[in-house]
Amino acid sequence: MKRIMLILILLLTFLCGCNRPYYEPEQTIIISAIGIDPAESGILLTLETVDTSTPEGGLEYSKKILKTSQKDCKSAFLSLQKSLGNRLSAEHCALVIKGKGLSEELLYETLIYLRDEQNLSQNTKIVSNENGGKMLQLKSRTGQAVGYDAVKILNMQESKSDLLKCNLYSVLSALHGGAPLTLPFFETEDDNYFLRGQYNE
Amino acid sequence: MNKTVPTKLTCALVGLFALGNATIFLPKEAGGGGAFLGLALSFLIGFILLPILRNFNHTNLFSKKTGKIVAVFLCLFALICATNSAADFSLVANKKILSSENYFIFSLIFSALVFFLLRAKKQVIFKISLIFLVLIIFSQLVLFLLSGNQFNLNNLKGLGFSGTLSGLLFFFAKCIAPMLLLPFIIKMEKSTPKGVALGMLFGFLLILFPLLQVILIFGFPYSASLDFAFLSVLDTVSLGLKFSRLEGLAYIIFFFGSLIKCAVCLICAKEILNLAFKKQIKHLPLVLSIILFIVIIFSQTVVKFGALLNWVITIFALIFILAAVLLKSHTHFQCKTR
Repeated sequence: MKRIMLILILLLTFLCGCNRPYYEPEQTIIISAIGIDPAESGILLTLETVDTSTPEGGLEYSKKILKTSQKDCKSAFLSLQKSLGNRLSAEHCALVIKGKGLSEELLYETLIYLRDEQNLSQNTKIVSNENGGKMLQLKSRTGQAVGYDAVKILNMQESKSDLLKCNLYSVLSALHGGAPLTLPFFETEDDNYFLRGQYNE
Repeated sequence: MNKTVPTKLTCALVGLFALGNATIFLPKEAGGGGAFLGLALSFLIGFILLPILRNFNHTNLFSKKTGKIVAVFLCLFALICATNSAADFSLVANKKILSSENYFIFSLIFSALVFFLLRAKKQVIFKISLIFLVLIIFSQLVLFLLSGNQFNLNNLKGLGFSGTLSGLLFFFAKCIAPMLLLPFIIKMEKSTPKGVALGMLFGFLLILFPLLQVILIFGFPYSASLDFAFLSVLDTVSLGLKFSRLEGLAYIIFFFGSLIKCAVCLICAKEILNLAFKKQIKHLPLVLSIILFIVIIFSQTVVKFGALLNWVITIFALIFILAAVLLKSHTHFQCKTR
């Protein structure tokens, strides 16, 4: 009897896998970076997404830029998902770029939404730029998405200065505690981007 | 279990029972800067309560006319502690592991496992606890050491007294109050007191390390804003570039702790009813498992008890301690007058 019970329980655990809603790769849009800029209606959300349908199989992969202007991040995500008909996945997002002029309150609200509702990793880097959306439209030097390339640059420099530590949790922690927010600043110049130290609005 | 339980087995069961489901919501419900003080104070109370547990004589308790009422009261207390533990794990399992709102399959598996443990011999529970404890200690050590490079000692500046009371309530309800049921699974006067004390120390350390880890990485205000801070902190921990998803080790800690606490509480409920009614009640393990299954689903879908349950457990425990002390002094007084 006990053996039968144990076998039944073990068999039941296999059902756990069926419990998770699953999506085919072509039904999922993988976000590599997010740009947040101020807009008249609220925020201008720019998503750099990795195109998984590239048939060539080479090292370089194509990317798509999605843009929408809404009152907040939640509405922006819902509107994009509705228009595309696919699920947006921020779990692999490596970078969030804060555009100039975006208030700290709006940045905090947006990051909290991305963390709690879109499963943004605590290790995601938060940086700033004159225009977050514009930086994402540039072509990266390594052929990778700008999000992944910029994080590589940051990781190489991070060991040199503690001020470049800009993980989601440290930024949210600073915003939560009301401490002045200092983010690594990327400058765009002639279709290229460079890390230019810290920036404090 | 009439013979003396070896120290290491007693220690494992008590340690795992004290850990239970306490790390799942750390430190959100455990106060702010006072969480450490709350933890230390609650375990200090636990150590003070040890003599009461050791001198506890349940044959006296149930022999009186009111014995059956006391038994029902204690059984209810055990059920609340068990379902609290199961419901907490159910929440994290459905939100983070399964990412779905379907509680049915999870609740069924958990209740089936508890049913299996309820039917097993007590020695099996003790031995399983020892295996689980070793796995938990290994998981915690690995996670703590791997996150060492993220530690920021400045985060400890938030240490203080604010939130000590809510921390004390949280840790007392989750770790210390359910221990009042332990005499029904361990014959306290026969098992080595060293084993129980060591088990409590293990329980304390098993909660202290994750709490310290969360605070050293996230700091007080930020960690208190997260539902599952210990799970979130593991997002930042990796072993080189190859092993970056170490949350599985946290699930080991949550699952084994919650399962053993839930099973032990229900075993105690079974023992209490059998002792009070002086016979083996037929199909009791099945009935208790079905009650557990229904309450898990009910607590997740209909009513979310949250911190209210901590108050209920604490009040139940305080009434029980008071009754045990009064009963002891009454018996002592009767002995003296004779």
